[in-house]
Amino acid sequence: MSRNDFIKRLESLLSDIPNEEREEALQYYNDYFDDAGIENEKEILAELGSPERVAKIIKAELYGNSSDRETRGYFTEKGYQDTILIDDKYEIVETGNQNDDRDINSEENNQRHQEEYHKREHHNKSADFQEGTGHYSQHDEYNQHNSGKQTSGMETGYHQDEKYKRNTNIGLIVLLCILAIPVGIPLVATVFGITVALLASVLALFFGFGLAGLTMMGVGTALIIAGIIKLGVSFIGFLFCGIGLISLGLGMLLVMLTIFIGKTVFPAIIRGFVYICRLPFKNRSVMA
Amino acid sequence: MVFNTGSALLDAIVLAVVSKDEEGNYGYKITQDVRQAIEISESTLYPVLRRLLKDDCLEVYDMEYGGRNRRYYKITEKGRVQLKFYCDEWESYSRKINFLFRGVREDVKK
Repeated sequence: MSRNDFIKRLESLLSDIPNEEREEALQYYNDYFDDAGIENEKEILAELGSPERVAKIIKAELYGNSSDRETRGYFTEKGYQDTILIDDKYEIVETGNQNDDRDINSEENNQRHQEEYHKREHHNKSADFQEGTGHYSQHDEYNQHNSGKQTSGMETGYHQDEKYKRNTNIGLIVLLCILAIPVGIPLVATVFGITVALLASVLALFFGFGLAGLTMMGVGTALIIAGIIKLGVSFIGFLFCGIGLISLGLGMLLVMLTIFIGKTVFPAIIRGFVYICRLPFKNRSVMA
Repeated sequence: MVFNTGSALLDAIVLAVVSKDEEGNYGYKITQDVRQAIEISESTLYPVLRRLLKDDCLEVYDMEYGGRNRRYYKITEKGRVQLKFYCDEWESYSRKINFLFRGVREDVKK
């Protein structure tokens, strides 16, 4: 389709609106093509879409009352969207003055919009949080129009089912716990013993490292002070200072290691242990 | 709150773009400028201009350019008042939203 075809088709499509409106619109789009330049003609034609689509938007604006307009347009991350075009993509038939215009739409046009929608949806799926909102709004609309009732009905059914399942699970777990007492008590005692032993050794290591580090830092500081005092005596001052610095550094490293163990490794070990302890219970509930 | 629908925001954006030039601007240029801020279908903008024209927020005049008449859109006094209103509304709206979002950002950092 060339520019002239587009304008001609648009003119004939707009033949049922007031002359002034038609002239105005045609002047606008003629200007638009002129200002865009011949080199951009194809691009513009592609972006405008079919003349049917353009005519529909113009008429919707012309005949749609203002309240209709207020609820129609919305912003997404993809820019401004007019639901009058979105409707097309979902092929929803709305009652009202837009009906006639839709009939003019060719099959091909509808298909094109649909493709556009699919592309857009695909794009949104792979996008981040912000883009996700856009996806949601479109999808939401889709649900509202097409299958809103169905979805909500299914959802409540699902919840009820899950609730029932959970109740039976709790009963079975209680029963299992009672039956497991003869085996459970020795088992728990063993686990408790191992836990205490492990904790004690870890704590001992922890304190050992920490104390060693602190001591080395203390010794280092003392040596540096001694070195500074003896700085006058040829080598000894420097020697003391050097050894003191090394000692201080090693001490700091040890203290840092201790802090790291205390802050990161220790809780991780406990968490891991708790997880291991929980594992058999988890399995049991699954089996039940 | 006027920005609960897209159409008010779009009106505000178009008015702001048109008001940038004392002499007004022509359709193609307005579209390009609006598109710097938001993505919008080319066919959506004409109805907006038409609507603003009918509401007396814009006026048109023709000026010769390259051997043809080019239609220019220019903001009116009423349009300026309306734009000022939109700007103030946007200011308070975005401030409130920003306030809410700030809390969220700090939560995420934790």
